[in-house]
Amino acid sequence: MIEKGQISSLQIEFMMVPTIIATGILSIPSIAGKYAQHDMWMTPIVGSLIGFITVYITWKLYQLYPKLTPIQYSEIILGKAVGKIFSLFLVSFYIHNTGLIIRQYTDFITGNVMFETPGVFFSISIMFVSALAVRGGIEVIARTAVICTTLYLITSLSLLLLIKDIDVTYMLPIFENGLLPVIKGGFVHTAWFSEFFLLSFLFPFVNSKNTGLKSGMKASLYVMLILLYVNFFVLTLLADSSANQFYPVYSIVGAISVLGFFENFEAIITASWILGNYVKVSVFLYVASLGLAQLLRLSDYRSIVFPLSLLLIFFSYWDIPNIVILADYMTKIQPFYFVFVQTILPLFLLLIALARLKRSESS
Amino acid sequence: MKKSLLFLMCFCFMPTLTGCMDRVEMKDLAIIMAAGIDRLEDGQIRISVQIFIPRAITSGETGEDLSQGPIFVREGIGDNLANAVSMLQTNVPRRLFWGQCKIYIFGNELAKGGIRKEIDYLTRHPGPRGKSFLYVSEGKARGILTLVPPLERFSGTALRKLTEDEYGTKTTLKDVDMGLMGESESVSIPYIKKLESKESARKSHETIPVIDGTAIFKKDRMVGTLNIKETRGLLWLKDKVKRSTISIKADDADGEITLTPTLGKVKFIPEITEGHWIMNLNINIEGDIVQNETHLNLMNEVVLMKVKKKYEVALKERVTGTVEKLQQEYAADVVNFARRFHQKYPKEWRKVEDRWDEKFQEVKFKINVNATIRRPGYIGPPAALPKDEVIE
Repeated sequence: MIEKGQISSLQIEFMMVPTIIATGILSIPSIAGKYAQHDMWMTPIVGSLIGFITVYITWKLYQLYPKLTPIQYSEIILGKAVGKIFSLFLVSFYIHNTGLIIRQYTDFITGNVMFETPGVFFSISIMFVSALAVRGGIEVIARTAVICTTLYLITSLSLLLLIKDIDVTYMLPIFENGLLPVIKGGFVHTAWFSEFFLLSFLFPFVNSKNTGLKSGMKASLYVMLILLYVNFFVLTLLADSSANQFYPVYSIVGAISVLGFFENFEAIITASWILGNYVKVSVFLYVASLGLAQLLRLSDYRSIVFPLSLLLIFFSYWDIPNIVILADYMTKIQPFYFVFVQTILPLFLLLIALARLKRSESS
Repeated sequence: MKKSLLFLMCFCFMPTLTGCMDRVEMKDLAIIMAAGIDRLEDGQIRISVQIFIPRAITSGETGEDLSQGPIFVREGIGDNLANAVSMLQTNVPRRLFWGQCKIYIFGNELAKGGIRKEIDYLTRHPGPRGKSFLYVSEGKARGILTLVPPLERFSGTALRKLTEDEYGTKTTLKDVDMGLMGESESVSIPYIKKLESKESARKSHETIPVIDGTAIFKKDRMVGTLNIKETRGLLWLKDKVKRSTISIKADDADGEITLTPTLGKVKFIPEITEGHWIMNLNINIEGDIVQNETHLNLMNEVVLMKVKKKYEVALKERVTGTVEKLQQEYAADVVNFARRFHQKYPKEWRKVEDRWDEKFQEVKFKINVNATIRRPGYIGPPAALPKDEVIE
């Protein structure tokens, strides 16, 4: 086994929560608002279904093949040739995806906070920090995640300071256009919720063998609650204009004013979001490099972390000329693409594995 | 070898970690405190800004020349607001900083011609904040910025303080964006003018801007204004009355009794019965009596009940006047009836969505005022009046 570290199931929760919402919190309210308008607050509930399903599939696969990652058990399930192709696809999927995450992060920083600094500075810096953490192994990622996630969640409590400004009537009329807009808005979330498949790379390193499912489900529930909370504030403060803005959460944070002098929370929020994105990038980079190392049967994944990081920075620039295309990609392609790779394909893996198991039992 | 390589690598990454490229020193910034946007006769847009002079504050103790003031006004002219701002930048040696600007004033001409393009700039540009206040000025906005208030440091602060005390409607950039985008496509913005100074010792520009009513916007154009009395009516509907008085006449006595509301709450209950659209406005208000010109003894419960009834009628009249003006004269739904109907009757709403302007004029409204008079002030019977003249 390449990775020798062990993490606890509580650390899994700390790692997974920012891994899903770090970029989600930036763009989900805007995209969900576009489809579901004033019903958008409930879209995370619909989206989280995919999260729970993905966690369950991942857990079942883990139970069949404890100690193995998808790269390894796909070869057992699908046979050597097909398994290798599947693994290659999965690894390239995560490489591409990590590139996009870095792009979303740098676009956010250069578009809101530091307008004149070239985005590549932020890509390189977050990549470098994450690469160091990944080289340190899964324990380092998990331990830093505990600290970063705590800070990340504490600062998001600052939205509560807006409670006096909200207008709950913006939520009415509920289900004006039926359920379809809510489902559409929820579908946008599924791209993020399907990322729970990353758990399959983390479960083998959990020290207790039975708590993984519970912590995965709990993480999914937390993500849903946080998105509900964020969407609720965005909707009750911005109403329909939330869909117009690329970063609605950022703009409502700018409206916080306590007693007229405690203002400009953006700086604190931005700083904590960087921490969240660090966790997200680290987990993705870890999965991508571990997966690649296992695919190529290397003795250690650490040697490929830095080269891979360099490649990821290029990936973050290829293909995405501007934020409009990025938003379009997240709305129209990402939900189908992500759910297919991270929920549907693992489901097939599970079904095939179960079928094989049954046949070997009967014979 | 490995260690030195790592060391070298750390050095390579060091410049990326500083984040200094966006570094801005205070001494490189021109902090804008208030901005006025005008349309000139030739269609050009002019932006005038009040820029803060930091040293005027620091030198305060060492005998500052007060006549200079801590701000100066600069302007830029261009085909649109963005160009005007970039021209303005060429006239200011430091980089313009919008983060502190809480006041945006639109000139009358511009407001009548439409403010959408300017609102787009203000919401798209990352500098201006959504919480900043918007105003429409009588005449050119620049005239307001160049006033030198006797009490405040500059006219922007005077305006902000007036608004924060809610003498007029409080309209932020976010409200305008949401209002014009929402169901009613109308919004109200405080209308300001220069207060004529009556003091002979002061120059004509040594005065402040005051809120003199409300500008009513339909789509993005100003269609008219409400005067200060009608504005009060509007404020009652917006749940925001803090300091205003209302006088009523008692039946059986000369003179008037004046009350000031202390707490108010308004509830909108839309109703559609047999094709008639009705908006029920339930206003709950508490008030204190502040002046009694009559000879009535206010400690008498019967008298107080009568006053209360009168008070309710007077309030009703005021609000009715405002709503009627909005309906009949401007057909602008700045009190957001549309949103309330939409929320309660989504199906019926969809049918009239496209012609809400006409429908709004047909909407009937019923006002139910429930007033409570908490106390008659410090004294009960009328002051400075012999006992035998007091009407019990």
